[in-house]
Amino acid sequence: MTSATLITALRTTAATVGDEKGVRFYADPTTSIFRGWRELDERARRIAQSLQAAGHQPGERVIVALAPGLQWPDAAYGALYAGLVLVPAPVVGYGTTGALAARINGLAAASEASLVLTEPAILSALGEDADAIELPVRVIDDLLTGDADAWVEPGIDGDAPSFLLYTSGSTGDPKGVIGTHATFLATTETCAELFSLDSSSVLVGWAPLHHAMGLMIQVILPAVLGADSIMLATDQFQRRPIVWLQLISRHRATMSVAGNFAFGLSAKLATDAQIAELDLSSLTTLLCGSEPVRAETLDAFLTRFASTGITAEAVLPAFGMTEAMLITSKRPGRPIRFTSFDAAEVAAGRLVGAEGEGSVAMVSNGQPASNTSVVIVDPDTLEPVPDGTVGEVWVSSPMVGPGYFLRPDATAETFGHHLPGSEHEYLRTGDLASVVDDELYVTGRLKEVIIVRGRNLYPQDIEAAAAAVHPAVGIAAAFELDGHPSAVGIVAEYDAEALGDTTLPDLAEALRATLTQRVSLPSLAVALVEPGLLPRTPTGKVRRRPTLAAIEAGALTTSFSRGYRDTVATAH
Amino acid sequence: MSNSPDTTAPTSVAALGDWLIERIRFYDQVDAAAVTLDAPLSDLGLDSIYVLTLCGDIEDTYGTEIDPTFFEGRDSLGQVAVALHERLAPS
Repeated sequence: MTSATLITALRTTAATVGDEKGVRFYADPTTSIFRGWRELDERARRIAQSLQAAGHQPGERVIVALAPGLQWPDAAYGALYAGLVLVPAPVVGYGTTGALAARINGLAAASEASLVLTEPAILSALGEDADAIELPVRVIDDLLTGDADAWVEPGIDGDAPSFLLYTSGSTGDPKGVIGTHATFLATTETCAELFSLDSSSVLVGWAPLHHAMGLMIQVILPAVLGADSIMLATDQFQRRPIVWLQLISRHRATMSVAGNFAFGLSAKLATDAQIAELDLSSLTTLLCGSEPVRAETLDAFLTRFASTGITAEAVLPAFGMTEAMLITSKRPGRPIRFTSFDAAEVAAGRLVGAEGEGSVAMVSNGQPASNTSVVIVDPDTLEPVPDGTVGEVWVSSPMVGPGYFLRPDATAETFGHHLPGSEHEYLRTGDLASVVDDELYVTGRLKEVIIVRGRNLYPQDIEAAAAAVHPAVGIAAAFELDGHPSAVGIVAEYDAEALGDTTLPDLAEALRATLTQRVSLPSLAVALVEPGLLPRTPTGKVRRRPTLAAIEAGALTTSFSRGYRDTVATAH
Repeated sequence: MSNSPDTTAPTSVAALGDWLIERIRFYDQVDAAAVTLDAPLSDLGLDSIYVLTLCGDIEDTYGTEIDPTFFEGRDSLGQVAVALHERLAPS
């Protein structure tokens, strides 16, 4: 147990750094507003004092529904200073405001929250749907009337929860990862050690603040270090990816975060004139954690931006997850390592070096920090496997939290596992990887999460949405595709009698059109099969991997198929 | 009116359509051949990211602010071109 908290950390920063450093938010490419750390500390005390005066007790959960901006760190630290536990709600990306209200209610129920903190713009966007929110709603600026000098420290220690981060949740199965004050502080210490961060660091980011990565890099890490944070709204990056690099250049940033798709998008859309004005030589740490970096994408990016001074040494592939924060990473200044392995051996669970035809290039995610133990474990025997063998990644570190909020079942499944001869408690990541020459290569996932451009999608959500499209849709299997024209595929059984006037091509098109929009997929391959053809478990649940394997092998007789590559067999 | 400066002459629907097709093909999310004025908008790889990229491109090229909601209820690039033409027309 430790007395250090995120509260004491910001108070120290405010006292030592004052308003010399802080967080600067760009609402558009040219306009920014700045909040110094001393000012943030003062606003946090005012907000916290309002919350305390309203009777809110340490440990209560508060939903934070805010657009990107300086109101976000205000709300975060205001609630933390009152000892409350933040539950960030994603507020963008919902097609309708009714869906946002429903999402807030879902989070509120799962976290048993007592309050929603929001802002006028979101309330007016919600309109009448705001009435559907079943909790007291407070506007963050209204809480600034509190008396900073009357604020009372909440009397919590490092083991107190600070955030509940709900992973982009599978419907009806919400799991809120508990981050404590101590796990967040341990993450900042680990990042500082690995990436040589201090108060002279300048961090630029556009990741959503309701995700662990955005929250950590853009708010917590710079606040604890007393460094400068430059925030850009995610949608501003998506509108003009070049702005991200322009901000790194303008502010001489030392650290930023990006996924493979950001490299591709930036390289594709930047013009020669824009690139000529960029100086990215200050950047030593460009962390890539949400999806594997592809050699060809990175090469294209580094070639396109070669004149800016950015180098491969500054690009840091990393492996992490909300439950464990940072697990492994390449170190700054070291060369990035792509290794070619025999594809057939990879499929069989072994990493064996190979070149040329039939080989597959993988990027190394580096090594764990000194405070982190990573063991590759056979998911069936639960025994550690030798180097070169693929197994599940188990991790033990001070960044791993106590579990999922109010979910002892899911917590016991994932957290607190033991290995022979070790005192440590391990988290089962559900990711498959192998260690070769002291480098971690992630090969896939034990669970069947679909990752599209860094977003986690749950196949059961896509399948449930498919069933709602037409009464003829029966059980279905959704999965990520590789080497097909579409990024995601679904195979559904159909009931010919329930089709009515709908033809199979119509049904496939309805599935594709509805699901790509609803789940926001770049593309969706659809195959329709007769009832009983999908592989099932003894209890009747669809088996996704065998379904995909049958599709790949052309072994599944489809009545209609579109969006898969040509090997897929079609009956007619 | 052929002597009018570009700023007051609304870009024709056909030119807007050509420009939209060029941009979407440039994004390279689906086969170039699939990008036509009549293809369903949902077939063009315009997910939540690329629809914003297109908004940014429209803003930078035509100087009008566009949000993703602009595309709601429009089925094809042809319809988008018509709507964009109306948006750009001097009132």
